[in-house]
Amino acid sequence: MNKALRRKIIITAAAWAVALLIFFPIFWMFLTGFKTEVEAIAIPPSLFFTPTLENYVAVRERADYFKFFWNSIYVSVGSTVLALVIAVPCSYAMAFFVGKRTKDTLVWMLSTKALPAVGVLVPIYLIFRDVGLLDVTFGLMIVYTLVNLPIVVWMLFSFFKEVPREVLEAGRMDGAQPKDELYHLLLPLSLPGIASTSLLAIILSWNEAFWSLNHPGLRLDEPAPAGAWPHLRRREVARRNTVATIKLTNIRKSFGDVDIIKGVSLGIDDREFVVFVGPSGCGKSTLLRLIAGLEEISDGDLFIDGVRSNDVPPAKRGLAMVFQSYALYPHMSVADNMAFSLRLAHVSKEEREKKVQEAARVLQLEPLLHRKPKELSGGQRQRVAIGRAIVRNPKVFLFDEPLSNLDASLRVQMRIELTRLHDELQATMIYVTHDQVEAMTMADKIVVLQTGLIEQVGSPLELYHHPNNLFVAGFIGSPKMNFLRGTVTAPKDGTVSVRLAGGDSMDVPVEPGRVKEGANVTLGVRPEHFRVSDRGLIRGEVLVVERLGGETFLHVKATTGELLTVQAEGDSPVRMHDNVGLQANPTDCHLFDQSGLAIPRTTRHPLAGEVRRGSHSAS
Amino acid sequence: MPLKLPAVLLLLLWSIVPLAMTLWFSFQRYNLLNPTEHGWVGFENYHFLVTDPGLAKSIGNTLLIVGWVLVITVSLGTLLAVLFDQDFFGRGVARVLMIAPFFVMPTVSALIWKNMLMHPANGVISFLLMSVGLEPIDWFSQAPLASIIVIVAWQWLPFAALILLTAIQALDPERKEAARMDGAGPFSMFFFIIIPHLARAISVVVMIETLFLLAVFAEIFVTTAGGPGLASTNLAFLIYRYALLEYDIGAASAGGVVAIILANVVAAFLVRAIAKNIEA
Ligand SMILES: Nc1ncnc2c1ncn2[C@@H]1O[C@H](COP(=O)(O)OP(=O)(O)OP(=O)(O)O)[C@@H](O)[C@H]1O
Ligand SMILES: [Mg+2]
Repeated sequence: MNKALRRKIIITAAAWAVALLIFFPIFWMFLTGFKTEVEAIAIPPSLFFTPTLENYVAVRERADYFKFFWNSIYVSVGSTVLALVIAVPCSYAMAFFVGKRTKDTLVWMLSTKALPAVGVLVPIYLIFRDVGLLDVTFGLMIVYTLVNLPIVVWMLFSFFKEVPREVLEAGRMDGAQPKDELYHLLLPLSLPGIASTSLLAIILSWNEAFWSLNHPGLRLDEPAPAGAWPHLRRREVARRNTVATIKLTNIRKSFGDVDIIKGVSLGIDDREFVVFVGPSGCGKSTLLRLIAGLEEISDGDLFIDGVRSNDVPPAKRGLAMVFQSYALYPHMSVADNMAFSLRLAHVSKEEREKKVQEAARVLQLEPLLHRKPKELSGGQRQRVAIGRAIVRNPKVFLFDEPLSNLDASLRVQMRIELTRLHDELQATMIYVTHDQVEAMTMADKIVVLQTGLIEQVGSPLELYHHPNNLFVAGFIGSPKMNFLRGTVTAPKDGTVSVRLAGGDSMDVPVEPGRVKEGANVTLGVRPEHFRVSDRGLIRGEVLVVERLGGETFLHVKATTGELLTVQAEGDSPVRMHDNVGLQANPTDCHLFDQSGLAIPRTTRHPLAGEVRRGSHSAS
Repeated sequence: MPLKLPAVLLLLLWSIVPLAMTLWFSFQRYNLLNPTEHGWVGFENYHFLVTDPGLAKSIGNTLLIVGWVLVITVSLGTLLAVLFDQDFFGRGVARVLMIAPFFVMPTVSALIWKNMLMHPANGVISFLLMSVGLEPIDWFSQAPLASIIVIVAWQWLPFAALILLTAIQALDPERKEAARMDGAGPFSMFFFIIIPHLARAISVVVMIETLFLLAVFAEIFVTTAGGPGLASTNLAFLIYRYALLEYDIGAASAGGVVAIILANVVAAFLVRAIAKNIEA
């Protein structure tokens, strides 16, 4: 924090010094405006003097000053309006209806901006003399219009060209004629550009002096195909033999006085694949960026390999990050994009080429090495972004929603490829997503975040079978867990009897602990743990049946009014508006107390402690 | 669309008619002081122009002004843009102060520099020189062209800085972060990320400024009136001299044709060097 402040103060001093230096002549003019004629030419120039308004009084008394002032406004505004009226249709025609030679025409027109004042002074002078515009302010307005026209046309042309093609094409599909296209799409979309063009034109004519001077009568008016990584041969990827662990202790981050990360403590083991999940805005990206060093940590300690690294600059932390938008450098080829960090690290050219070739082979990017990012598909860009991380051979890979820009099928492929890459590279990876399927399938360890705090950390199956609270229970698993209201009737050792709102009771195998008889509790049942049967715990009407082939989802309105989701077999005969009973195995049910905390289950699920990495045959 | 055709025609008319007329007059004897003596003289005006030592000198001066002002405004403008893009106290106000000179009329700014800053006796610069024990310099007679370049550069620096600042602000922050993660320090960031990103904006600045700089007039008119001798006369001022001081329309037109050729040579050069950046 202190460092950032010091930097800001230094920049403030430098920028202000420069600004004041540039502004000084204007300030000095302003000052001189309050000096008497004698003081104005005093040697040395005086900084301290008695200010006088005599110069302003003198200007005021000159009737012609105001005439000139109004002439300037009249001519500059009038000529700008005229120029716009002519330039809009003209630029439109040039932008969309003129052939390939447009560019040449434009440049030629632009060069006429340089020539009129000097090169065509004479003819204009003579023409104006003959039509009687010489001594008229209107004549000057026409000259200014013509002088500014090429630049106005050219600027409008560029702004029109920047309007996305898709928008105009959509307009055409909707039946827009050229006129509608111009008035309803181009003009509104390029409004800021038109505004700045007008401003420039006004200033240019306001500043223009050449024409009025030579105008007798007026004076100085002034991202991967699947199967990319299966080809990856283990020997060819430089294996890391170093350890990479990360430890966060009570990390906090606030932006201004808003606390975003409110005390996060977390340990990440070597070669672990950790996934941060949570709803939008919970601080996942922020936490990742704190680890990367892109944001300054407000409070708490970050240890990388046991070394406190709060103040280590991002490039020195031994991390590589893959950004959501890929953040490729648009002006560099694929090869240069991947080699950039090596180049900055002064790695020799041969070494760079070797590493880029290796990464390109791994990612099947070889045929694309000479392309620019804009010539790649989404999936290919994604691979370049990953390639850029791979060449650095980092201790830890950081991914911020790297798959969110890809289509569904590509996302599934890339998910598999990333998991394989993790296995092959044997690197620690931290991965941010809000897609809980990605979290469940890829993670060794999931960190569930909510509003800047960790709700629970554990293996995917631990979170699934032993959620700590209602939030995690609802967040992990798809479709969402069903929640039913109930009251505790008999807390015994090893089971708790719960009476549901519908009247039926169930004995749930949880530690009674703090729950007392009569306490309000929530019973949680996952859709896949409900069975449709005649004599059910709960009864209700089927509102909607969703048949996915392999399975069927039933949306049931219970007699107590609760809406429940049930997963049934694919060939379940249930139909809409049937009355069904629902049954669940008590050992599959979860119980939460009044404050939303889970009441621990008596038996742990056998797979909850499973670490995928444990089954990996590390060589 | 009914408006399109007339607009394009008007634009073409505007480009072609005066051009044709200038060409026509350049082959005429035509002096406003002596309107009766009037007629075709072939290349006499051009002969007069080419033998006038003022022509080569003023073309040279024109190119010097364009070149130096471009170098100064683009290089300093890029640095200013990077500086004023940082977060610092009072940024908004400091930016306004930095941009202010662009809104001062050229005639006015020329007067400020001439009478208040560069004046050999009571100018601020002389005062500063004397207070460190140096001789004051009479800028407009000892270094007339350099003085004009300074004034013009001061006026155009804010324009370059403003356009480049806008372009820097459009730089995707994730790209800068990616570069930081790749280990780019301030210098690598500047040369490998910011400058390439600015290529297009720099082209725009060079293009627009060139067009105006080729025709610098008010600053010369107010400060040196092209002197001493021809030391600060550029092409615009030379033509002005022929046409409105000597009333020689023929010679002025021939000068105009030369100016047009120069502008097109510079434009053709710019197109080859720059236009592909702008179109991309
Ligand atoms: N530079 C910043 N200044 C102020 N607030 C910020 C800044 N960056 C993030 N925030 C705030 O911090 C909170 C967490 O943002 P973050 O980007 O970490 O969310 P996220 O969990 O990644 O969400 P998403 O899934 O939508 O990407 C948000 O409320 C956001 O508005
Ligand atoms: Mg995010």
